[in-house]
Amino acid sequence: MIPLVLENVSKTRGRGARAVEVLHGVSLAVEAGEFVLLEGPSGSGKTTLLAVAGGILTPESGRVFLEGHRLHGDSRASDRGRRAKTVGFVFQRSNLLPQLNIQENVLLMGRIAGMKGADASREAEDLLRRLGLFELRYRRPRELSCGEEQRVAVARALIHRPRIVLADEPTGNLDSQAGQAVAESLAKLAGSRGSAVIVATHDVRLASFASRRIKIEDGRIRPEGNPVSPARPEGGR
Amino acid sequence: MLRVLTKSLRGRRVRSWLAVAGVATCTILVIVIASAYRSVRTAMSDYAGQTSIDLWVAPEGSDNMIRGSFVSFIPLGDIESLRAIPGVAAADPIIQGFLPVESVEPNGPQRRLNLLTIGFRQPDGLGGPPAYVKGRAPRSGDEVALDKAAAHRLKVGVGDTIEFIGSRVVVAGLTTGTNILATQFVFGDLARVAEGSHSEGRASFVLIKLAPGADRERIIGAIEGRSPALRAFTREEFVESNEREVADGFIPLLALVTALGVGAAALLVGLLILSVVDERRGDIAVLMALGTEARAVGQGMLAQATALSLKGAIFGVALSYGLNAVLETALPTIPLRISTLDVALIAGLFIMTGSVAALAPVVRLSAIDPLEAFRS
Repeated sequence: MIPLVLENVSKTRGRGARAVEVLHGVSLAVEAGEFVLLEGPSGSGKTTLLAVAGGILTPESGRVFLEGHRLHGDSRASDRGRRAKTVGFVFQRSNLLPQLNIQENVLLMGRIAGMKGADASREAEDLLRRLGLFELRYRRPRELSCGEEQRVAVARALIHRPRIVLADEPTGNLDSQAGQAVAESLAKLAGSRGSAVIVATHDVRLASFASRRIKIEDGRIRPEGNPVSPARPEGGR
Repeated sequence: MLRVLTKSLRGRRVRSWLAVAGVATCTILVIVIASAYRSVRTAMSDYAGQTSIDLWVAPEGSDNMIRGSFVSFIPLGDIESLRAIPGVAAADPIIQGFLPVESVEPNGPQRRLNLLTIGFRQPDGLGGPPAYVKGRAPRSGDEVALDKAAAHRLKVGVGDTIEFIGSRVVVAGLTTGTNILATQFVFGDLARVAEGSHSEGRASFVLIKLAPGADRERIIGAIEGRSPALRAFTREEFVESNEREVADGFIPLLALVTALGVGAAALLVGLLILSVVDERRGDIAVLMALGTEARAVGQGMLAQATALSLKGAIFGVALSYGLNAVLETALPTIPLRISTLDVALIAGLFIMTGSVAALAPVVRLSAIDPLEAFRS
């Protein structure tokens, strides 16, 4: 089953005279294990595309399929449940909840996705170990560096083994070294779990992790860039 | 999940504790007023409900001690005819009025109080003090029994001399259950009180003790049959009438203070939850973007509001008991009788109101767009 398919999706933001069509007939399919780079200038529609793909925004026209299930149909509750189970999100900022420690932040997503406690704990431990954060698991987000916080966000996005991870400028707030570590972690761990990844970014350094690069301008996808081979399960480079 | 959501959206610690303190203060306020009401009501019923008294005989138009018997009296001559009714074991007059009591100089600066004075047939007539905390019943016209709070106000104790209706008398005992907040009881000799209140030959009430097995209803009929100016009440009726009189005065105040207290507590909790919703908007958007239902987030907020109200109510109740213990020794003029039932009802009211107050800010959650998670 293809994790994500967008068919001729259009989306307008704002109302009345201030309405702007942000996406124009966008079509896209993302295969399992792909690491797709969505590149474009600010205001090109990258974030809106991720939000529509993740079921957060409803398009005016077109269809979105997550794991073959059409989103934005009759039941928003059903969409929400499906989104929780099949999509992982990484935001520009880590957006970790400050009242929870690192482990609780990661486990929270497991709970939202409906995982059993023991399974979620096992996955969280595995991810935090692989990200080198296990020793920091009882710390609060404010006690971590930005790079560490964003790696925790990667763990949160992957704990429930989503079919697709949507990352919006995940390295946008990081220095080059931390950004490299976050991108590497995301590519490696998502690949090892068979999760597809779409990363919306300006950061050209992430190109080395991509199996495919898509350019978006003025809400339209431009068929530029050569498709490259899918990311290796444990590599990504 | 609810626990994690509640924890993850907790308000700032200092603000939360301030809200808890506010709810606790409001809880104390309402408990104090309710307990003062309970205390006055109990004092009246303790005195009027003494088991040694079976019937209260009052002049027509007077059915309780608070409102009655200051303008109409029972002639003492009627008492003999009451004693003659078969089944009446004892009939004793009492006279009541507000009379001055003063401390005398050896005990410090002179203090003067107007106390609810009960003149009764000393030492063992009906209508004496319901209970003593110290000392004994007065035995002669030169002795009185004084409420312990009044003694505190006058700075006197057992054995001290006070000025009572123009004469010096000795405090023989300190009584309890005789403080009705606005004033306290003093018990003196019937003749002296009658003289001091210019009521010689008259009684405010006549208290009847029945012989074992006597038919109460028949005797009430006989009393009222002897004089159309007399009304006889059973002890229970008279207690109920006194309690009703206290309630009529207190309940509006109690209701007002409760409403204000509950309203203030609701505002505090509501404001705190509102500030949490506004301040944690980004975190709430993230939770929603990750797939959490707005309803679950709302439940987390309500759980937080309930927890705050619960903590406030618990602290308020605990502090009320502490305050009562302090007042008991440091300021006995404020009588508090804390009833477990009152406390449970008041605490429940505050917990419920705090939770309901959070509903309005929780409704604002629906205005939060999960897309904000991408912008925060």
